[in-house]
Amino acid sequence: MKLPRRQPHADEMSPAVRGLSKRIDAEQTFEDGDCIVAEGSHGRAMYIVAEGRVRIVKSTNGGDVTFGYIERGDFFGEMSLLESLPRYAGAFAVGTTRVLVIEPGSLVLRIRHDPTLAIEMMQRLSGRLRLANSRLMQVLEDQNGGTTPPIWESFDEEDLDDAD
Amino acid sequence: MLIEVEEDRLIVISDLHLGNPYSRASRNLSSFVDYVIDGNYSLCINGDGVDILQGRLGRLTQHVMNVMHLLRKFEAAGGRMYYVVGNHDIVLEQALHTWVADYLTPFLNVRSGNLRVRIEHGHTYDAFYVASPRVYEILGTAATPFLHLYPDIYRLWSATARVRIRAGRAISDTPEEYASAEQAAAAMIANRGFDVVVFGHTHRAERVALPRGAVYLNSGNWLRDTSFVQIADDAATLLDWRESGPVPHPN
Repeated sequence: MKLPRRQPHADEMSPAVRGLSKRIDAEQTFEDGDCIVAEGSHGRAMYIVAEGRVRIVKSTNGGDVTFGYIERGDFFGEMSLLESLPRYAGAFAVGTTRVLVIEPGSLVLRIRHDPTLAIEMMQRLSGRLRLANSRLMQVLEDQNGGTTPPIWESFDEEDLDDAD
Repeated sequence: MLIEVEEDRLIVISDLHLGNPYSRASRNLSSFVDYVIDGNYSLCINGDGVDILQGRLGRLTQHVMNVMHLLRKFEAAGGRMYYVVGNHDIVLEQALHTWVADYLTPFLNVRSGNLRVRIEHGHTYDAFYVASPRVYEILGTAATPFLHLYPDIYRLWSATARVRIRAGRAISDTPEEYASAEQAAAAMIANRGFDVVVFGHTHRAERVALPRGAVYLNSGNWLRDTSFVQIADDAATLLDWRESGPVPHPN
């Protein structure tokens, strides 16, 4: 897989942190409608919603589409953290919203102190993948009159490179 | 693995240590299970339900048979039971899943009305356990003869808390504002969107206020005591069980 060119600086500012113990609990507060992350920006952090609610929005040719809402305790932004790619969608605060900011450097430390976070992340990613798969299957069935071609048969890293 | 559940009414007990020759759990649970059934509660055993390290096979069989009978009665009445795995029963995970609880899990995130509650045994935040589970296990087994001399030896263990916390602070980076690594861990977990965090493991029932209105509760033990956490009507309460019914816990 080809990596994107290095950005001169991150688009999103990290919250100020003090000391090691604070490092794993950096947080930011946003007011209703504030943009937490912009689609296409080059942030590296993921966010856990500690208070409030977050709307995930993807821009399309037909206008903005709301993917869904992230509730208290759930997280978003993990795709950029794990894959070092630009933000796939934007995130906006719904009401006053407090988020914990987990950056790549503090993720391992966070998981060492709070190991259940890793299980929650894996379970939610698995759930989101299952949902995406079932929607993809539905689309394929609709397109092919009830029969579906094997999706994963020819999938490999070369396909990702070609897609770039 | 089921970790996200909704329960309007839930009772949490922990550290029964069935099989330990000094466990009173199978005897004390008899009237308590009727209370759980009558109150239409679900039940969560928050770890260390059985004791392989300090247990004896004869006692284990006797205790488990008694408690299984009570749990079957609970299930026949429509009760739902969760089992959160603790450090003493990790090796029995498969058996527990087959014979005791439909829902076996490393931790539970419970939505109860407006409350978000984390239930976890808590041994993964014990600096001594994390430093070496094997050494912890060996020391636990080695302590068995002292248990015969003084069954409430864990109270002495609790009495040494200040010394252990100081030692644990040195190896676990516990922030100064918290009295123990468990309280600091509870605060860290609460800060990512939980109102209540319930641990067991320490055997010391307690209620500690955390920042932003969150609460840490320790469900204590049923080895020698009868403390439990009751979650209902948007509140989580630490209680003690008496034959006459529940009473507020002094902590």
